[in-house]
Amino acid sequence: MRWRRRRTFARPWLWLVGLIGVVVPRRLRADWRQEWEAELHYRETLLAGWDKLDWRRKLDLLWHSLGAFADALWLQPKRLEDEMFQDMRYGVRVMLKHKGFTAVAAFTLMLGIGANTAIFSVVNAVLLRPLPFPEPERLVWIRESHPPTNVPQTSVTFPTFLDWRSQNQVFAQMAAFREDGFNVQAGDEPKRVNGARVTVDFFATLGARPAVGRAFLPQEDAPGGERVVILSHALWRQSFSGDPQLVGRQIKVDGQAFTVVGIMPPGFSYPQDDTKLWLPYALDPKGERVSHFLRVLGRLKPGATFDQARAEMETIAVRLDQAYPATNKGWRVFMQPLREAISGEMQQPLYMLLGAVLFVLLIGCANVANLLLSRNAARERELAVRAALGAGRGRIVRQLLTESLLLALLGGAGALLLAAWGVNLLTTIGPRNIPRLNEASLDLPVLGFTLAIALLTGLIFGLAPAWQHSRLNINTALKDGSRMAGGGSRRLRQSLVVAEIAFALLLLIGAGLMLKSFARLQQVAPGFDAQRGLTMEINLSPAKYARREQRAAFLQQALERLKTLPGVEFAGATHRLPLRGNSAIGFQIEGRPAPAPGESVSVNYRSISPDYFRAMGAPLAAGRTFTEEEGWQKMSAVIINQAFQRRYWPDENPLDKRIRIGRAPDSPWLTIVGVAADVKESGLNTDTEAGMYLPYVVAPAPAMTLVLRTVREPLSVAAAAGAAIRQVDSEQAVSNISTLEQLLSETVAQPRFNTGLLALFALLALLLAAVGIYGVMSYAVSSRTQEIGLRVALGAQARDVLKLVVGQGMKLVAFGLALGLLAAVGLTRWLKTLLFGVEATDPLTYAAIAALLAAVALLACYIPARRAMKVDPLVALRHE
Amino acid sequence: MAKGYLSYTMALILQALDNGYKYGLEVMTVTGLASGTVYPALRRLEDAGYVDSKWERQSIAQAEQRPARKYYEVTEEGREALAEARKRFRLLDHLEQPAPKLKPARGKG
Repeated sequence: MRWRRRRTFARPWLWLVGLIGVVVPRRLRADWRQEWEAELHYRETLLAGWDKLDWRRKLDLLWHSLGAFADALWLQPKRLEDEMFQDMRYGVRVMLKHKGFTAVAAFTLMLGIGANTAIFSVVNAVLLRPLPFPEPERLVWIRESHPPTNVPQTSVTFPTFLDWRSQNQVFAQMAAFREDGFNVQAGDEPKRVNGARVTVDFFATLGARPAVGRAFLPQEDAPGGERVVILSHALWRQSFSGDPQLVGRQIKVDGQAFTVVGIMPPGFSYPQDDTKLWLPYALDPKGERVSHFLRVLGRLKPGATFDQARAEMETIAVRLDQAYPATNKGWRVFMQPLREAISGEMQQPLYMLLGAVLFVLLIGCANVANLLLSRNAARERELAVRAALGAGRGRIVRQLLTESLLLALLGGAGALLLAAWGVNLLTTIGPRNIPRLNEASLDLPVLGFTLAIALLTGLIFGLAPAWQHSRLNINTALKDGSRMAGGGSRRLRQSLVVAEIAFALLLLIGAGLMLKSFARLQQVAPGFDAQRGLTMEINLSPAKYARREQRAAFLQQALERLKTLPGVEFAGATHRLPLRGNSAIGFQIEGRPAPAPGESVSVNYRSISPDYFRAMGAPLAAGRTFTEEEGWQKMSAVIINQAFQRRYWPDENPLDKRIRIGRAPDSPWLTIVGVAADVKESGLNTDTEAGMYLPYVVAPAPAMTLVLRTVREPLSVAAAAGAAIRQVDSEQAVSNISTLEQLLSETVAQPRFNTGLLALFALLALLLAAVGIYGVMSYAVSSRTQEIGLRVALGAQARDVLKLVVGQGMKLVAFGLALGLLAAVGLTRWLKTLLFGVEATDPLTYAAIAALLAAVALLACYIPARRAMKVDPLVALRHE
Repeated sequence: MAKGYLSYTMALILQALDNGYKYGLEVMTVTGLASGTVYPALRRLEDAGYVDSKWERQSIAQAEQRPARKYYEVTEEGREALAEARKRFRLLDHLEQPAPKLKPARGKG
């Protein structure tokens, strides 16, 4: 580099650039200098070559080199990057040096962030992720409602659906469908699969198309249309081993041959997670306007809004009301965006859980902040030295924040492992009826959430200590590190503990309420004996069992056979198990005026076999059950439940009164032969409504659930039961084999899930809060060792010391409890709809939980207090 | 620097580079902008990916007994941004092209 040595003193512009270069960030400095020097040098040689290097040009060069200063200033932001790397390097060194501290802090954060990530992945899958259809926000769930009789929403009648579809201008497509079960013959054994009957525009409405073959054609859903079927990818793979030639061939569904016209792409399964085939819904357009059984889905036209659609549908409903007063009087439309219809119910419990884990994380933050505060107290001298050597306040704060962010990221990395495990666990143990739960995974949005929350966490718990230290007094810190734990720092720690206690109390109260509510729910008597009851479903093929006598005969025979199986006491059947909701039917009571047109009077009903009550272990309150003749042949008898009696014959004996089904004048009168005790029909937390039990011959449903009362473990007779059914009809499949106990536990699966998780998080919160108060108290004790020694030397008894330390700790706890109780009164209101049999402000729960937390906190204070009691004044006072 | 919108100054500098002026000082001369403006602008253009910089080959610098200079080139992306900016700033068209030989022969005159 010979050029550098040449007469630099005579070329002040080069000298100037060299000088300005000092402020350029080091990483860029060499390049920067060379560029400027080279430019100036070049210009200079050029001018010299032209012989024009006079003093004015020299001045000009000097002026240019001054411009380098502006350039250098513009490069200043890059300096931050440099220092960031420096801070990070240093931060990693600090973390490695204090391995114990790092491990504890990172572990705390890992728990908090991991729990948040796991719960968020569920929230994301169930509530946030768009439905797996194109432009899902245009999909609308449409139902009927009947405000005059307080029916907020119910299924749709076929003629009404047709009117909606033809009269509206806002939906591009509208489809009706109904879930159903089918027996599919694949290989030797008939297989029971869930499917749906759909109108032809079903797939177009969802925006889906078969991967192979075609969707249904117009007219295929007309009565008497072609027998065609579309299969799900899963069914095609599992039952037909992915046969590429299957489209165009025939398969047997419910004993009839159907031509496969299409196979859906993998992942498509609507309306249910396990819907595996779709059949055209051949409905009679002249059907009754009173049977509400269809689900309806609409796709808004591009640009049409939900509110426009609602307004227009409302107009159509009013029009139908006027056109068909006999059937449509008072009927209106209930609409919901599809997403809300699918997962709206889960919104509250899931956001509650997310809120709970956020509180856990905040408590964790407070703990880590406390740890950092005490560690930084030990680092005070180091920081003071750095400040004395010229590190600015901002620089030190940045250094401390960098360290906390590193810590948070470390915790976040661990959290991902924890969350991966947690998500797996949640999807496995989670109740089946949480929609889309099985889609929960650590995908990109979840990873983003984790990163964001980790960074935010780092800021939250890092900010307080960093701010504390930016106000450090270098003089005192350098003089003596040990004695200067300032009052400000102590107050900060104490408020952190108060906040922790408050948050923990809030969570514990929430969990306490949920636990109490769950216990109440489990105490509810379902009205039947859940022990030793086996259930299985059968679905009679409509082709083979077209007439009611055929169905009745099959069922009677099957039950007869099942009853004789070893281990089986009674065998009964119902078209709908308890706790599985209701079907309703219109009826009249003899001697009472028939309802006015449009005022349908309906009650819930269940179609049963004579031995149903014995098989269920459900008692009769009065009268008797059906005889075999009443059950299978003669339409003459009916059994009502107690709710029915309370409603229609509150002060009379209902036995031998007569009622009749439907409004047809030729429908036979049925005599009430028995009153059944109330059974929980649509959930343990709802009251039983008026209902009746119809003999199978009156209501011959094709899909029935068999109930077996066994004398030993119910599932042990399942295989024999399936074989017994096949002896009656070799093509008849049995599905959903289960027990009554499982039925009962399924109905409380969601509350159990919510309650269990909340309790887990509350426990975590309790633990963290206890650790927090322990940490603060033991720090307080160790920094007050001399003072305590002095007190003991002056005559304080062990008891006084105990009172001093515990009193100080419990004062904080009391503050925290008071704050927490206030917050709980305000916040548990949101739990109200999730609670059963317990008020959101249940004083007993509040008191018990506060006492529990106080006891744990007392223990956490007592341990450091005991250490304080053992302080030897001689040692303490001598030790400087 | 936010991508997309070029200020007039930035566009002017980009245009000068596109016209064939390669060095900071040349750009200053031809645009009349101050060095305190040109260099920071060049760095920002580079950060935005509109401009690439390279060091001159050492042998050339060595031959002329001076340090190697850093020269700038407009990237494809830069050219697109410039084309867009030219629609807004008509005056850019009047920026002069470099003389075929800016540098006089050494040792004469």
